Amino acid sequence: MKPAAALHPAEASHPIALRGQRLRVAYDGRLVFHEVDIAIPRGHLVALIGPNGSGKSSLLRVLAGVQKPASGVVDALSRVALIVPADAPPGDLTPTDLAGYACSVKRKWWQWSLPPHERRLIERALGRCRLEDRANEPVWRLSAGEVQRAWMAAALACSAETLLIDEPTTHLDLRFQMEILRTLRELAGCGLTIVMSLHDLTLAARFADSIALLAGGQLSCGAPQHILTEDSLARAFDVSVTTFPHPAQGYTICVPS
Amino acid sequence: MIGPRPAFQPADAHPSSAAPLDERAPAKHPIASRSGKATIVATLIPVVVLFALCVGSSHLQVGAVIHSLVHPGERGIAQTIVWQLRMPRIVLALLVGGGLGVAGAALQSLFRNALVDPYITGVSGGAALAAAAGFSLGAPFVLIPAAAFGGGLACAAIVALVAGNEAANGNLRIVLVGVALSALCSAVVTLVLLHGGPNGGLSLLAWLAGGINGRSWADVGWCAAYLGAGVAALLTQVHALNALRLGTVAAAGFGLRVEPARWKILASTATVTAACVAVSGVVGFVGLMVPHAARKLVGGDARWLLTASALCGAVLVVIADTAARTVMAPAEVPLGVLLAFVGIPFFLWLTRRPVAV
Repeated sequence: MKPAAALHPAEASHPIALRGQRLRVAYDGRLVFHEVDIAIPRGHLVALIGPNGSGKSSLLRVLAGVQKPASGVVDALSRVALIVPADAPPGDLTPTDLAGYACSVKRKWWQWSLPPHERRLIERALGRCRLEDRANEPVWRLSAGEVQRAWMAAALACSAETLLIDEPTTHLDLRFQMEILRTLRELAGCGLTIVMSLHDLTLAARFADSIALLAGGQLSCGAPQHILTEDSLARAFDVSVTTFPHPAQGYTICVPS
Repeated sequence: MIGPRPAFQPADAHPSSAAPLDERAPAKHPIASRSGKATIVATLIPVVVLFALCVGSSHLQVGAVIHSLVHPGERGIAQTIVWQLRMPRIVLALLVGGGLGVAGAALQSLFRNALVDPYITGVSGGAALAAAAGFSLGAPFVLIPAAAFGGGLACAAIVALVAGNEAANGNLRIVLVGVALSALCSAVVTLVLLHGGPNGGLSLLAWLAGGINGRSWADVGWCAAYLGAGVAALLTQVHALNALRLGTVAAAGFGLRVEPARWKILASTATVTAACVAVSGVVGFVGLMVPHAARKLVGGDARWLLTASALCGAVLVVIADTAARTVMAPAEVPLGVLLAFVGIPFFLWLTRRPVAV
């Protein structure tokens, strides 16, 4: 496994949106990862993969500044928001409310009503996540995929430039998984930096610009075809994996042997 | 290699995003409707206050009460009953009801748990224990809320530390720890009662049973001061309360500094509860029932929920206190006992159905 460095060797000169250096996380004396370096280029869609318990969620929390690492430094060179879509928002909220609550964190306490500029930001964010027609529906009436997109819209409404998303495709069927990943691909296409943790290696290869593989306390980063190799996946997941390129589009398909 | 990247469609160019949000699907709780409902509850307050001023051991005509209210300087029996006997008590009922309603709503939003209130989380119990200790040690009455604040905050801190993160069963642990703390505080209060002597113990017992009889305008003054400080501090945290409804990780992910916000909310809630406990003893279930009623009216948004909880709590306690002093007149039913008769069935009903916070 090669040491972690700038995510994409060819794009090492890209401006960096978020950087973590020598990060170390341990729980109750159990080391999760250590000496992890990561630099996320602006506008990249990065898939963070790794076995269960390898520390993907912890790394995202540390990068978002929500959790303090045992050691190491995080440089947020852009506005960062962390989304944990598995958390269900209260059912009576609408996507507009959700985005309004997210924005209100930075609002002065006496500004009880939504300022016009925030309302415009929310409308725009809901539009970018294709939720404009569901903006005032309570969450309990939305599909799982729409709830995920409502979380993303909330982050966008906060003017986040970097989204860290923990398992955006959890509990979603294939159609909604594709819908979410296409939305994320579009958002990255217009300049947003996205780091998402995923379990589906083929979907990671299909949609991400770069892959970050966290396993055994070490992080390996690079282009999908460099990281998703049979050897590295077998070492990381302790299971034999066959990889081959998609016949038409060329991305790596990963199948357990 | 990555997949094809669809061209980005700017939101402004999207045909259906041209109309403003308000003109699309109707909102579940439109602001106009929420403010309308809050206004209706607010207008109930003068009605129930007028009713409470009229009824009692000596009934007063509405006209006489209004005359006394308009001419407070005149001397007469009606003026004395209205201004010296009933009005301080009614104002205290408004303050205690409003305060407990706000404190319950804030705690339910903070812990994302529909079953918590100042009573169940042990805040009331801690405040009662500290206040009882203050009484039995002969502390000046004005210092009782400060002691109650210390006791309430200590219990709130223990509950918050136990429920520090949203681990599995975190909400269940809040209730369990709160109930255990309340039981412990209650046991120690019993000890204080037993050592308080026949007179001190009885007066302490009457205070603990919950009630606001025999209070003066001076009590109203210091209760309002403590309560006002607590509610004002809580109002500065409405956005944090709303963000925390999304979960602590989500709130932190959007940039909220969760720990300072949690402690500010807990300290404010403890102040409000302490003021209420010091003046009225342990009045349970208001902080549990009122936020549910308020949530039905205006939804879970903390800005409206706190407002509506204050108004509904004020109305409920004025009505309950009026009943407490009239149903068995000339004897008086302790307010806490009366509310328990309503509160316990409500609590049991609540445990049988899921309630979103």
